[in-house]
Amino acid sequence: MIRLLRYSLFLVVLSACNRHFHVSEVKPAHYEVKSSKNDSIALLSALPYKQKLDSEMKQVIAYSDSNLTKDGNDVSLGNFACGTVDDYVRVNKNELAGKHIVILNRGGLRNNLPAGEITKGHIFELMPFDNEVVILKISGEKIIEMINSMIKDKKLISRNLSFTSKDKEALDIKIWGSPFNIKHEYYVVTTDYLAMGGDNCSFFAQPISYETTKLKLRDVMINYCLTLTKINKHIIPERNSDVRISK
Amino acid sequence: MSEFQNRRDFLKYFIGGTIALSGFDALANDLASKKRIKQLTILYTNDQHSRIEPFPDNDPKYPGQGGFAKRATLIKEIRKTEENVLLLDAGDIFQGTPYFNYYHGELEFKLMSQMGYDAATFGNHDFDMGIENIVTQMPHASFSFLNCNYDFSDTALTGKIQPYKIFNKSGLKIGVFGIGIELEGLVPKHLYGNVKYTDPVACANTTAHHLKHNMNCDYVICLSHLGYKYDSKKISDVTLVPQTKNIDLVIGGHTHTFLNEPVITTNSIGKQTLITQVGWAGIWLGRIDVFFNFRGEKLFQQGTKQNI
Repeated sequence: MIRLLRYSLFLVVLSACNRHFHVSEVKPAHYEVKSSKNDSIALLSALPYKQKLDSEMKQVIAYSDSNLTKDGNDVSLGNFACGTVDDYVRVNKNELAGKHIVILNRGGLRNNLPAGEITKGHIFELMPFDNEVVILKISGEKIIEMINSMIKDKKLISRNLSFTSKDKEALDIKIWGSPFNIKHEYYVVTTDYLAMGGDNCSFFAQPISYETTKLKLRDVMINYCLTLTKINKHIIPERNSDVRISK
Repeated sequence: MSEFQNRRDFLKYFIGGTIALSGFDALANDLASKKRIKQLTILYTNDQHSRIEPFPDNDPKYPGQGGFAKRATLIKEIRKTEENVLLLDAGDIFQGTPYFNYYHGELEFKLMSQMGYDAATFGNHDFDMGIENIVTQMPHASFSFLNCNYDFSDTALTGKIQPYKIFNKSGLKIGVFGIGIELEGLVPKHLYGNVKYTDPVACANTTAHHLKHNMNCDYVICLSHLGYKYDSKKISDVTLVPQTKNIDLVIGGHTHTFLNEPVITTNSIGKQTLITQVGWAGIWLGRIDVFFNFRGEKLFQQGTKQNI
């Protein structure tokens, strides 16, 4: 008993002087959040939000023959994203045919798409940002700056542009299969995010012309899915890249 | 290191001659065997990205993983056994699922408040609907927003963000502060408005020094959204630590790095500093238990050793 009292006294002294606490041991432990039960209060709080969302997001808008990812060397997700924009241009801006490159950023694609049914929710998670599709006209010199950035940072993905790189230099640059000409002007279909200099796209500053489609990239993707489904087609992953950047 | 050369000096200093030292020797021996006098349990997340619900069961990468309601259960269970819990987030709470597009972060803040989050710092994506949206959603958050290297004075957030906060946990003083990434080139200018980015290293040093030496904190935690590590010279958690001297733990984010355990690094005066990060989307909940005594014994930190 006395010992216990002394012990308590000791602790009182200690807590009065917390300058003298020292870390003696640090033990980490991460939890995988997977098999725990759902907390009922949290579920209940989220329910009204979820119900409203689900009614929209569970809508199946397309069917994919296999997973589309941007993992490792897989370019299928990037090809899909650029392909939806290219399709939009083909249908709605036919005058640009043969003259435009689609440029998006790999980092902007935020989630993979599974094989099977693709819902509107999947596309929201792939492209959660409210970025709009814009059309820029820029000089051939700026295209070279853009290609150099593609080689250096590996952040941008493209469509209708092909080249190989050797020792950080682009070779055999072609646009729509035709040799690139630095004296020509080209159209770049991209997002307002990149056009405003996002992901260090400084070469898009002060373009020769700038036109906004007023369409969100996400909606371009959703419309593409709906159109495919309407004509009974599936999303077929394209796993080849027109751009080959050596390490 | 203890300011006292040995246990006896320590006892003399406080107890003087009022109680016979012999009795305390036995007691002190008892305590010596009981090294863990106080325990702090730090729980943390980073880059939650509005992932309210678990990934669907057919997700190619993370089937059935994550989910706020599952995390809430885990945290409740931990609180049942641990007295001193700090629950922290290293930014990018917003953006990534339609919950954000539709409700602008309201539900994320509400559920985090229910879980008892103590503090969070800002990630770049927290600005995705602008400064005004953060101001609008803040009433749903009962936790603090900490950042010391963004100057908010010319924005609607002025006066609403603290550089640091000190948490008292059973006599322990824990200082927590936040640092954020350069927003230019990462967030459209019209969204982050007049937030001015200042050097995170300078502010981390000033704030951590203040916490440790002026505010007498026993442990200093940096919530960082700089990113774990880059190939380039861009400032990251890994390049920050060797330029600082008063941080004990960096809870990082931005690069979505899954570190199986904290990485042990060395600060500018040769002391160990831990860097940790738990991926993204609430797939993991991080936990670090810190045990304190008053003897300044050799520090034992569990983690991956890394030479930087």
